[in-house]
Amino acid sequence: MMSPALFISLVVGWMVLAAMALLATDGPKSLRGLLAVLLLGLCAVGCQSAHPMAQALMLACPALALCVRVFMPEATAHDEGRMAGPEPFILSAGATLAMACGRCDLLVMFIGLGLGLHLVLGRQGDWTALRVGLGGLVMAQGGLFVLQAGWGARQEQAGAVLLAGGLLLACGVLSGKRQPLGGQMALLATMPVLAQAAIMSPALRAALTFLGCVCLLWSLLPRSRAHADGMDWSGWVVLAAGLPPATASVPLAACLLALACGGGVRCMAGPCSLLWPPFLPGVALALMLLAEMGAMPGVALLAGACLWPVFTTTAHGATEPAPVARARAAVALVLGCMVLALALHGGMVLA
Amino acid sequence: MLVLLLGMMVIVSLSGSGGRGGGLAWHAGLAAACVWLWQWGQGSVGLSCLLAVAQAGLVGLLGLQMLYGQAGPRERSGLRLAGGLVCVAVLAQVIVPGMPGGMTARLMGLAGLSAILCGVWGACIARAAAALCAGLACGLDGVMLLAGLANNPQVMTETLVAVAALNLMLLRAARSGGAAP
Repeated sequence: MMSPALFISLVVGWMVLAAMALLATDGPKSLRGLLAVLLLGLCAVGCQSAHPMAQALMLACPALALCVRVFMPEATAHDEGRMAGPEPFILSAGATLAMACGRCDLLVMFIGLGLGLHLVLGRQGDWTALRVGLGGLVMAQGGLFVLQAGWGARQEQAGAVLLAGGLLLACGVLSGKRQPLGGQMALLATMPVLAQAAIMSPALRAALTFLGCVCLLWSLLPRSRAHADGMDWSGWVVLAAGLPPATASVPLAACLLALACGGGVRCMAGPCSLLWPPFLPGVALALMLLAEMGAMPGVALLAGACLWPVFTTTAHGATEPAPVARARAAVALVLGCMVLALALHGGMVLA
Repeated sequence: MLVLLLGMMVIVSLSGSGGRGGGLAWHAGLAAACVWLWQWGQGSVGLSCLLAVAQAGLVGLLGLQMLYGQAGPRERSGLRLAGGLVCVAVLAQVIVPGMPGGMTARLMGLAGLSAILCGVWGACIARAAAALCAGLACGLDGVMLLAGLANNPQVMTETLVAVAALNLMLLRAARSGGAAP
């Protein structure tokens, strides 16, 4: 995907940056911000060979997530967990490298490295993270071997299911609790690589679509909706990675950007709002729904129906009574469905 | 033919490996022998065999820790149940024809896959730290088998590092008094 000189410069820059981040642990915030911006610039240099804008955006997403993370206000960062330490830096750099190489086995290696760092530097004895992370990685590696062995169509389907399910398990999707940033960075790195691998094997695409639907339905559960404020973007990202390769890149980039920016309602209200493009969630959702409408209308209808609780809870947070909010959400949903049906009927769906 | 028999023994031994910690070492030794025989049959004995033997040693160390460690019989029985279930599924798969690549490679691949599924399943239903580590080590053994089949030293080294890390974690947990997950 990229030339060797660029790749080597990216590797050297990553090593220097990781060493500096290690030295600057508990350092002032400005220094850490400078390091994060440096990594973003490095990625921008590395992404020059990716011609379409959407691909470059996809490649730069982990560095962008690092910037959002570092510049987050102190109170929010304290809520989310630990702030200091080189761990986010190394996770983000590993994600960038895995995407630059575009190989699933390197991806497995980098996620494993991040898991080891989490176990060493973070909370000691986090057995749940070990169970979910290492189990998922083992499953993913096994599925990758089955995919590469070329044993036949049915075995390839089994390998695709193992690979996609294992990687999602290792990323902490469907784990029921709100993900730490490490999980989000792993998801940011995983999805573009999986979307590239889905070009090779169509079985992976079906598995990704199915798992994305499962993620969307999972986010509807009242237990997981109680302590997640705002939208859960992981299901949308997985669904976007399962699109046909011609239409996948733009919606996937938009959803990844929304995932990197945090996606919470709380984030929009605070001083973080400068980092939050106001139109981004709507644009990402519309792109995603249009592309899915062209590929699989049934899945698109299911995904649109999954937006209903988000509408109602967002309006309910304001000073409106509940029936009015529900009626307004219903009208918005019907209008959206009408627009989508018109677009599908008129052939305006993305080619 | 010998590899075939060994692969069969790996599958069967999965169902009996839950009783004591020594079963894990037995399983690891069988997997290493399987990789070694496969390489020998291909005519190239090299780095992969060394890595497989090292992996067997580390997994055996884990089994020893488990033997002298803190796991009760309730925690050990999960692996056995999952092994039995997967064994039936795998035997059903072997009967279904239509996979190229020869009977030996096919059985070795299926043995690796069943070890992976069984190990991860056992780790998912485990309650104690020792059972969790044992399940994950079983899955890593399966990855090692598949990597030996594909002749991929990089992945074999990764599994080696992962098993060593598991050893360290279990040792630390045993010293600090056995924290439950």
